Order: sequence, then structure tokens, then C-alpha cells
Amino acid sequence: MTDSNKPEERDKTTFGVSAAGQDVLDALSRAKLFKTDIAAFQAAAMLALNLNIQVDDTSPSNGTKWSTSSVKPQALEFLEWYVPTKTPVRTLERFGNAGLSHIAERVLSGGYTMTEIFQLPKPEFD
Amino acid sequence: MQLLEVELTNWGPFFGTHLIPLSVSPAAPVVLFRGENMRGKTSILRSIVWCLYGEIRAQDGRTPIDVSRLVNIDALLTGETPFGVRLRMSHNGQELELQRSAFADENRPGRVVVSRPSTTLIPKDGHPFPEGTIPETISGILSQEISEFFLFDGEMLNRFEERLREEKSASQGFVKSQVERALGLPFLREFAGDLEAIQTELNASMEVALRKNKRHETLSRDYRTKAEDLEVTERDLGQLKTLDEKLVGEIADFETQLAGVDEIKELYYERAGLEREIATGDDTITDYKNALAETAESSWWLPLAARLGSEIVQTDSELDAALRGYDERIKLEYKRDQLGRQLGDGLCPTCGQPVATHDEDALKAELADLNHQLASAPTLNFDELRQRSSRLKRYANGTAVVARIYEQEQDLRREQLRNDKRLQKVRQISERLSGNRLDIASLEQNLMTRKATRVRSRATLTDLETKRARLKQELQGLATKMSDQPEVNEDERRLQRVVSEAMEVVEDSFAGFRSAMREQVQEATSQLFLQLTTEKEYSGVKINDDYLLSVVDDQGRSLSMISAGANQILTTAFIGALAECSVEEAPMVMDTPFGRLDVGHRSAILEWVSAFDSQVILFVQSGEYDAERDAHLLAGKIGRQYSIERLSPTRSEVIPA
Repeated sequence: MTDSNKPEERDKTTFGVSAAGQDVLDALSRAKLFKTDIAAFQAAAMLALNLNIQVDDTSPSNGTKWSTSSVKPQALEFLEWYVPTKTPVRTLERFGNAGLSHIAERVLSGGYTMTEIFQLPKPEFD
Repeated sequence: MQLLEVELTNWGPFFGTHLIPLSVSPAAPVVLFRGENMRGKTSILRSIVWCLYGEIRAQDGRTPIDVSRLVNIDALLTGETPFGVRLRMSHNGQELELQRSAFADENRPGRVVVSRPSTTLIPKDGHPFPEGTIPETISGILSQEISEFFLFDGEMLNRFEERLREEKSASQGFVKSQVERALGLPFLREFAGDLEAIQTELNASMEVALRKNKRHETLSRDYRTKAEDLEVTERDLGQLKTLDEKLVGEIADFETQLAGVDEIKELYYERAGLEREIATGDDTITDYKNALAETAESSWWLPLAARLGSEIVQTDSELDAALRGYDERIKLEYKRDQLGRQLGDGLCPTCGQPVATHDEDALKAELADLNHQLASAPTLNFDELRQRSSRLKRYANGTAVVARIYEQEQDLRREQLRNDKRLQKVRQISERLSGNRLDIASLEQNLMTRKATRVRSRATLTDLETKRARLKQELQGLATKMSDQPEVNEDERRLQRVVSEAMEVVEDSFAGFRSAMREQVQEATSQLFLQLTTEKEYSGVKINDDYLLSVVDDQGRSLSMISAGANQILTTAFIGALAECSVEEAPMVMDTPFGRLDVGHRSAILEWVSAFDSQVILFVQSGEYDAERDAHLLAGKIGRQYSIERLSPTRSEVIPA
């Protein structure tokens, strides 16, 4: 869990998804696994965080896609204390794109469930 | 004849070999098979028919069924498979074993090839019959012609009923042909035809002899004119009969095609039903997906669920440890405070009394140690831990949410599989329907036209037959005149007289047999009808000289309209009477005969069956026979009872009940 909280870096008000990440979001949308792209993006970010995926400092964005208000405030607040970071939007963007890159192969090949894509633990039933 | 046992090998839903004993005594001659629909009742009836005659027909009575369709599906999966039926029966004190078998192989899906057919008929303790003589031997026991009166199902009853309700002339023709079938009249007709041929040849020879003499010119010319007229009439009759046969064939074809339409209609209905199920399944799938997407949306932290769960445990554990550390610190600080107050005066800080073992140096050392312990204790971060714990607790339901998602995914997967199967079935049905080019309205129109044409041609045929009979009579008179002439050869004259007398005898016998048989069938039908009907206003059944079958009321009047129930009973009575009048003894095998009857008529038929002393094999389903309600009607006549149970959609077994 690392974040480059450079003192001079200020958080963003808008953020976006990489071109490759957009393909993954489109595939997730077609499979109707999420209601919105931003929900899928957030889930991808949480996966990257869970797997401690190394994220790039540079923004991989393909351009503006969402404003901060599109994101669940709880998610930003979570990142702020959990990572921790003073720039949760920037962190979300980086983790989100990294997460999408990680799940790209499974999502684009199709046929995988949410449990399989996001590597959710298999529940133990009595 | 009595059936003693039947053995089925890979037949219908009966995988492997199944031996079913059927022998009964006159005191208890009923063999009762009970089984719900699709268990294999009709397959057993068909096994008996196929074994006896080597062919089976669909329930329309015309369309042949390829025997490959009766081979057990599971057996076919094992590759080339033997199948067949073995019947053991007794007839006139002799025991016979008839076996018909073959091999079947599904060389590609849905296409079964039957090879190496074999038929054997072996008398007990005797030599096998030559294969070529088997059909004739079986025909002598129970001919295929009349087997329909003994081996029948509910559909055949429906068919008979429809024929009896056809318009008057068609119905009369049907009744007449059934009576003749029961009597075996076709044989007599052939004999009469042979005599006629001899007569014609003789007449021609006599006419040639007389033609030379001018004295007989008129007689000879009259004969030639009538003979030519008869020839023309015969030719017209022949053409009309050919046309009639063609019409019969066309009508049968149209009816077969329309019967096929029923199957097509069923396929359409089945496909429509499946499409509805698919639409419902799609809705269910969408619901599951929406539920999953909503869960994913509200629980955006799900990929971290396991990790957050561990951290909750860890933080709680740290918080517990911190609490324990805090308690320890309080204790140490209290102790340090107490020791500090004791130092110098040696008085107990609590009670103020001098401490007995006061040692200033030891106290200082202990105090130093306590200060060291307090200084080295970890810094307590309660607030931070509490805050972290509080924040993490928001995600405490992670395990439950993951379990819910997993279950929803399982449900989704199952529904998707079900819908995939439905889609596959729809594709299969669509493939079968893609070849359908039937124009149902045209078919029905053509059928009506042909039937109307046949009614007209039958009327013309009747007129021509009357004309032919008249001409034959006149020619017979002329032939007798010719034979009286001295120019005719003495041998020919004698032969002409013998043949003429023989023809008269046959003609009289023919009419006499038919008339006697008509009366016999009428009597038997009438008795049976009265026994079976629950309606008291009927006094019997009449088959008049024109073979019109009708129910008569208590005033002896023929009723043109009777109830549907009475019509069904009339049909059953007619078939029962034909069976009674046709051969001495044969088993009556009835497959689901009661489905269309009300309880009263059903009871009457069971009571009728209970009066039999010859073998009766009954196949019934729970809807038409209830053991508690109906068993007493058979009054202890049940010799054997079986239950047909389904093991799987492709397998059944017969269990003695």
C-alpha cells in the first residue's frame, strides 16, 4: 500500500480511464456486471488496492470522464484514511486503471463471474 | 388362443430383457397393467402386434410405424443392439413360441438402421415352422384382418366411432365391410369370381357353336349384345373402382397429412411454450444480474472484503491488548504512588500504621524498577485504534455479502443453463419445422372435395353393379337357352349346368352367410349395448338390410341422434360383437379404453369384462381405473396384476403388483 503524497501535489477534481481500461469497462457493461462504469472502476481500484498492485505516478488517463461528484464520497473518505492519502481522487484513478489492467484478460475473454474477476473469497457453507 | 408370456428385449422404454408372464385361468382371466402415461403401456400392446404380424401402425390405424422407433434409446447408445419380442401362446391345446427380432444401430443422430431381421415359430417339443409359412400359420390363429377387434386402444375406438358417424352411405359401407371381415367373406367372393370366369368361357364357346346356324341367329346376337354390354359395364366398373381406390388413397393421404399437421401444431405449441419459458428465464436472469450489480454498487469495497475482515479482527485484537496494557499501567502507577508515600516515614499510606518490614533501600530499588517499567511500556493509542475499529466495522458484513453474491451467481448460472437447454430445444424444433410447407386450409379443402367426389362415384358404382347383376342374370338365361340347343357339345352342356348351379349355390350362400352374420352381429351388438348402456330408453341395436347400424328406442324406432356417450358405447359393443362372432377364442387386449367414458359406462364395461372366461389384457392409467373404486367390479377375475414404473425418461419396468 503505497502512495506518492508529494507535498506540492493537489488532488484532482476530474479524472479518467485509460484507453485500454475503457475497453474493459465496455466489456463489463456489456456483461451487465455493473450498473455504471464508475461502479466498475471503483471495484477495479479496490482490487488493485487489495492485491497491492504497484501503480504508476503518472496519470494513465485518456481524458476526463468523471467529476469527483460521480464517486461515492464513502469511497474517497475510505481511501483517505485507509491508504492513507491526501489525494484520494488521484489515488482512485491510479488504482482504478491498474485494477482494470489486471482484470483485462479475464473480462475481455468473457464467461467469468464477478467472483472470479474480482477474486472474491469462496464462501464456506455449513 | 391365449398369450402365455411375452418377453421384450430393448423394446420401447424396456431396457434389457423383460419377461412378463400372462397365462391365466378361466376363473380369473384378466391381466391388469396399471401405469401412468408415458410408462410404456402402448409399447407392450405394440410388441404383441409386431410379434404376430411384423408391422405396427400409428394410432390413426393407417400410418405404418417404423419398428426402429420402438428400440430402446439407452440400448442404442451402446452401439449395435439386439431387440425384439418373444411370445409364448397356446392354441387348440398346442403351445407355440413366436419370436421376432433384429439388430438396430444409430448410425447418425436420429437415424436408426434395422438389420438382420429374424422370425421363428416353434411348437413345443416340435420342429420349427419354415419361415415362409409363419404368416399363414399366424393368420390361421388370429388373422391380421380381424386382429383389430381384439388388440385395440382408445384411439382405435375413436376411429371406429368416427366411421360409424360418417354420412349414411359411408357408414353403411363400413359396417358391411366389418361384418364381412368378421365372416371371412373375401374368400367366398374369390371363389365366385373363378366360377364366373369358367362360365364366361363356356358361354363364348357355346355361342361360337350356335353362330354357324342361321336358326340361332337371334339368340346368338342377343347373347353377343348382352355380353358386349356386360363387358362395357365391367370396364366402366373397373375404371370407377380404380377411381374409387385412387380417391380412397388420396383421402387417406390427406388425412395422414392432416394427422401430421397435429404433430406440427404440437411442435409449434411446444416451441411457443419454450419461447415463453425463455422469455421468463431471461427476465429472471436480468433480475439476478440487476441484484448482483446493485450489490456490487452498494458494496464497492467488496474486492477488499477479505482483507478488511482480517483487519477488523487484527484491530480488535490490538484494541484488547491496548486495554490490557492500560490496566497494567494503572496498576503500576498506583503501586508507584503507594511506594512513594511509604518512602521516608515507613507508614502504610492506606491505614497510617508503621510497616513491620520497612526497608528504605529495598523500597527505592522497587520504585526505580517500577519507574523503569512505566517508562518502557508502549505508548497507548486508544483513539487511533478505536477510530480505526469504528471505520472498519462499516465493512464487517463482507463475508455475508460475498456469500450472497456467490449464491446469486450460482442461481444465475443455473438459470442460464436452463435457458441454454431451452434454446437448444427451440433450435431443434425450428429445424424440424423449417421443412414444413403444408397448406392446412388447402389440405382440408382437398379432403372435402375428394370425399364429395367419392360419394358421387359410389352412387354410380352402385347403379353399375345393379346393371351388371341384371346383365349377368339375362346372360345366364341366354346361356341356359344356348345349352339346350342340340348343336352344343354334350360335355359343355353338362359343365355349363354344373357351373350354373354352383354359382347359384355360392350366390345363395354368400347372401345367406352375410345375412346370418349380420343378424348374429346385430344380436351380439344389441345384447352388449344393453349391458353397457346406462340409458334406459334404448331397447337395442339394429343392423338393417342396408347395413345401417342404429340404436332403437323402446317403441322399436331407429334413432337418428343419440348422445355422445351412447355412441361410444355403441362402438365398443359393435367391436365386442365382431370379436365374439369372428373366431372361437382370442385374447382381448385393450389399451386405455376408458379414457373417454364416464364413470357409469366405465363400470359397465368392467362388469362386462368380468363376465369373460377367455383372456383379457387391460392397460389402464389411474385416471380411468381406481383400484379402491373399481377392483370389485372385476369380481375376483384378476389373474395377474402388474404395475409399470418409470425408472428414468428412457426406462421403465414391469413389476408384479
